[in-house]
Amino acid sequence: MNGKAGIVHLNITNFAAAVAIAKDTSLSNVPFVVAKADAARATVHAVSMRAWEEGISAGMPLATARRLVRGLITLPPDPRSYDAAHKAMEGVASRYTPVVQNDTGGHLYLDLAGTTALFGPHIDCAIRIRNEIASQTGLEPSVAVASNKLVAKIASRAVRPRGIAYVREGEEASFIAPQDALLLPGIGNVTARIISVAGLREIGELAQLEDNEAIALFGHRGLALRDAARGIDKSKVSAGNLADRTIRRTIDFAEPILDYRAVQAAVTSAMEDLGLELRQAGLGTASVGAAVLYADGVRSENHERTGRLLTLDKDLIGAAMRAFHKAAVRRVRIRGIILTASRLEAPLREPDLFAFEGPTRPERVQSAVDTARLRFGVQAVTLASTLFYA
Amino acid sequence: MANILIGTSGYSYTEWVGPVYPQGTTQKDYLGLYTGMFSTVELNFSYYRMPTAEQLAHLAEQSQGKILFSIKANETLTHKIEPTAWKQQADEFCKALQPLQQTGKLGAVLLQFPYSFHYEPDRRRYLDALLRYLAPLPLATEFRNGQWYNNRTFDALRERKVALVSLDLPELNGLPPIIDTVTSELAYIRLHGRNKETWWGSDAAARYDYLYSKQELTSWVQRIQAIARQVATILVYFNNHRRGQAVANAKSLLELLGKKPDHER
Repeated sequence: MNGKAGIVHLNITNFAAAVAIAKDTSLSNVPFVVAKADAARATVHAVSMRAWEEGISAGMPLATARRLVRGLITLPPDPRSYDAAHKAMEGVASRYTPVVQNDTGGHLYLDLAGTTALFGPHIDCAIRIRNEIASQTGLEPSVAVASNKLVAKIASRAVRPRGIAYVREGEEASFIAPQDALLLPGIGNVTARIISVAGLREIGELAQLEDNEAIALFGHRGLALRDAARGIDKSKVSAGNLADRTIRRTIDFAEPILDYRAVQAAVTSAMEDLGLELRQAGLGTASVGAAVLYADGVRSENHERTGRLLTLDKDLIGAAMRAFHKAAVRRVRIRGIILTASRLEAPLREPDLFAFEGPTRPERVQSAVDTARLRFGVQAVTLASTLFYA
Repeated sequence: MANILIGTSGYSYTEWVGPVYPQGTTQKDYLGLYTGMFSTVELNFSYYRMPTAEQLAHLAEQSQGKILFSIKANETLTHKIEPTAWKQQADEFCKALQPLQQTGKLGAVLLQFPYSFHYEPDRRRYLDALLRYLAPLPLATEFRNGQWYNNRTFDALRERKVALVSLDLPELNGLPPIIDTVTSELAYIRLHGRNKETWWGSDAAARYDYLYSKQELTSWVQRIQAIARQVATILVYFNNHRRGQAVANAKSLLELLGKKPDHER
């Protein structure tokens, strides 16, 4: 087993519920959910296997879940324990490779290239890492090894909740072809509906679509979906914790200004661009920062930390302006602004990478805007204020 | 932690006289000697000819209750399926198993499907019907065609509480991927050797002519430990039977798992 495939995906199913069970094993056979019970319209964040068997799913209103199971145990989200679990997982993996991408929600990508001499065949090393994580944290991930992240993720999903898979190099397409189409990362509600209506069930059926068929069914992103179904993925394992990564946009004014509306227009435009990148990556942000660069060389910065993940332009722009207000405390001309989105996370619901739509009206509007931007450029659809003051 | 039992695929090989059984051992004594080494065996003769209750009762008696038997399903149920006759063959096969069932010595029934058994609607319907028909038995399925290794198959086996066999094979394109996914309380592992050169186009003796290295077996310790947290029983069989290599490897794996050879327990 000395194949070249060396990208590993470790995947803990129902991460929040798994962490709760690891802390209190008496929960292992009990239906429970993780939710903010005191929220006005609370929704379920995560479900235990037993709760799932009772028909409860993530994203469901908590009131509905409670109607399905009387006396349903409701645990509050426990971010500290999630962070600790992630750190422990990353700690184990880091002993075997420096290239560890620590995504949230119980997902870890590793690149084992160059480690064979030290730790043996990649699949053996991956299983050892999996077992060490299990014995140290009580969390048992499924693990898959493949030649790229996409195929590794599909394989780890196929053998959920605790299985092992190794896809040989050159067999990516044949391995993923008979898998359920919904195992493809990035298939959200909208694309899933289209796939269902089109009578497509397996990834291999998506892979066989001609260019025109893919575009007719899924629009502009149809070709990306079709290529993903063929197992094509050139993205690299990005070392580091997703929560530590930052998306950044820099505004340089042609000459120092004091015009608030021009600043607002520039921030709006930059955040529209940043938001598109964020949504394309299937992420949201819980912290938006603004660093104000004054004409006299002084720099001042501040952050707007939000209690929830932001993904839509209107929320991102609002947060950026609030951060700007906190940072811009001097009445001195401004020569530039650096805007950042950090504390990144994948939203609770699977982001629809192939059709940027969501069930709510603002999400549908955002989806339509993004579709136009992807086709004609970011400036194609923008708020009028950015044009007026540009 | 699961009960882990390790043995070989078959025990009755004349070429094992010398490397495994003492010189001069006759066929009638093979099982008695095997019983001194391992606590489980996978019977393969049943694939080639339909077993009888008398045969299996005799084997159970010979093993003095020390052996858990797994048995490979007859070829009429997996390779040479007659749509109008398979139920009759299944009845005959099930009837033969009764002595093992009655004595609690039936480990599992292995359904090994060939490469030509594709993931197609008629095959899926047949498999569904067969699994229903044999349902009371502890079943394990082995597919040689990679198309079956998908999440729908895994879910379907899980619903029916049928084990998916974990395989060790040469790393050759076209063969199934490495997949360990638990679908029942029983896990079933078959190690066929990794002889790439002789896998295709040679006889069974050459195909299974392979001796696992210590490093390769150590890797299996990790895989077995991962599975052991999820099931009640793990049955492991070495099929690299040429020149008794399966026996040597099975003993080594027992040691690596910290289990004494069964005759010393």
